[in-house]
Amino acid sequence: MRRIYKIRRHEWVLLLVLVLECAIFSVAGTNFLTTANAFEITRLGVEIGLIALALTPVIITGGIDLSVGSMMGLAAVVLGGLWRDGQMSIAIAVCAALLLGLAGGSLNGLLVTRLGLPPLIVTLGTFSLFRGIAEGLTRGIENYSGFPSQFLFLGQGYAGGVIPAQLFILVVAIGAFAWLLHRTAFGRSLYAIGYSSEGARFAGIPVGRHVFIVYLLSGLAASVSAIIYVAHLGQAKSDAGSGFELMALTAVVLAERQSSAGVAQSLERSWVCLRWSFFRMVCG
Amino acid sequence: MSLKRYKREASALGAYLILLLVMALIAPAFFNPGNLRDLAMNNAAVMLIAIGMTLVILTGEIDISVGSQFAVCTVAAGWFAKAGMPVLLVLPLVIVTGSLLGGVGGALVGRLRMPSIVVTLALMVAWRDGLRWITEGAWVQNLPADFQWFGFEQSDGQFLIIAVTLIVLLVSAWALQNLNAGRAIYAVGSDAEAARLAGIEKRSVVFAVFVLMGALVGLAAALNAARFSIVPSNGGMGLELKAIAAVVVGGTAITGGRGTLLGTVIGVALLGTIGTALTFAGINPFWEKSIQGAIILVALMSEVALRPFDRWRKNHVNPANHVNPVKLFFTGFTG
Repeated sequence: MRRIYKIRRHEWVLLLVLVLECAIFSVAGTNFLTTANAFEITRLGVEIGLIALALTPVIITGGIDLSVGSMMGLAAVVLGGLWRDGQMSIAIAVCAALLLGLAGGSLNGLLVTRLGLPPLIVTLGTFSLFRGIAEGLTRGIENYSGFPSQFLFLGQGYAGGVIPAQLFILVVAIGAFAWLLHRTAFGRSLYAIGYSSEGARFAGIPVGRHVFIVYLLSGLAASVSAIIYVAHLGQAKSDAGSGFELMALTAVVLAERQSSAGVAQSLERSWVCLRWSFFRMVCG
Repeated sequence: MSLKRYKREASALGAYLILLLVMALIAPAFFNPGNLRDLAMNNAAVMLIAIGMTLVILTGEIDISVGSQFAVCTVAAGWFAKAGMPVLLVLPLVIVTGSLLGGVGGALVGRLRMPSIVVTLALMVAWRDGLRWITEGAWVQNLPADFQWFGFEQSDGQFLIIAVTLIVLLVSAWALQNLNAGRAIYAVGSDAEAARLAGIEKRSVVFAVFVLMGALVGLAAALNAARFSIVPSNGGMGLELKAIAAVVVGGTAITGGRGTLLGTVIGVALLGTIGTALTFAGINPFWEKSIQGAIILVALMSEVALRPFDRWRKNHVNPANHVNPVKLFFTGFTG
């Protein structure tokens, strides 16, 4: 039987750092080492975690997506705008936000794969573009709030009284990305593309299409993250998710190693998110 | 000197001239001296940092820690001044501070050959959170009276800032084209291996460029801090992306080896003018960022539009094979 998951050395280091961090903070601060706090931390980690997960395949293919944080802002604003000003049901608004994420992701994907432009600059452009549209639509001041309680449950509710509702989404996403990267031909091809996109092309991998899908997923994850973020805070503003691209990027980069252990990387990513949430909670 | 070499700069300049023309038609008040001076003041810091960023990008690296370096240098300027140092000493000390910060990145990227985006991302977080830790978010207040405008009158101080920026710009542009050091930056950026065979070590050039970048950040921070009577501890947010965007809009290749400071000047001007121009045109300035983003994307796409001509000139193939970039976008590369 093949081992599904093998922890590699530098992941042990990360895990050790996480444990150490927990130990230090539980000694240094009161109320840190409680179940409630542990779950509140994961609540904060879900939004960054989803984005970090989706950035993983992007980085594996040798690309980067700086626009995820801005896409969160735009998706949050569109969600709030359609619901409050557009008088639409929250379900339709959520669907529209998801579609918007797909549209933004495909814009990045098209520019990167069809025109062969450098991802860093393309997504720097859309980073500015998406946030700018969000700010323009709301004139920088509009703040949508008063969402229905069923929707807020997604970000603030507890399943079974203790487990934050959005944790399930992250768990499903971790499983899905681990499976996608490690257990599918598509996922394996991403590593080939990252190693040598020309070589991958000669091996018959439709490089453009696969890279496109990777950016599409990144846009989608940003909009999912935005929806959870809005439900978590109970408000939608154009500044939602600012700086998330760099936080998520840090999470990915901390865990980055040129290796083929996809599952490991996905799992690792979630640890790193946890670390980030700890850090944010204690420092901020 | 052939003009064709500067077509990327020319297209950015064309866009800028169109913007100015539109402003002249719909809002001539845009050109009043006070507004132009404000524009120059607001963009002087970005200009200085974009100069450094151009050099960094020309070597094929990137530095996204400049915004955090800027914050650290700004606070350092406040501290030095508060410690009773004369203004003439504060300026060089802040520049040295910036060089040290840049040197850390340069050592890690140049000497240890770590990827610059990873290194400078880590440094960005480290400098900013380190600063937050030390200052606890407090701004530096009660500065000596001669801190603001270096003790000069406001108009003299403003003139000084603009003059220093222009001098740095001209000297760097001249040095980049004419000095061995300047040519070495292009050499390692276009082909590190060829440069090595010619006796130019990429690691040393990269280290030097990062130090220079830090020094320019220090200078920009000191000049910018002098505009106000208190010093913020959260300055320079998003400055790194502003500078990179200006460099790219100015036609510098993100892969290194190609680009000019002339292009960067146009890029800074174009992106820096949009916000004010919108206000004068009666459009809500909150659209500024989206237009800046659109400009970056259009600049990139014009790059693609120019690409087929390059290929044609190089290979002398039939110009009928020229690919329509719009068509290319929708159909993709089939070959």
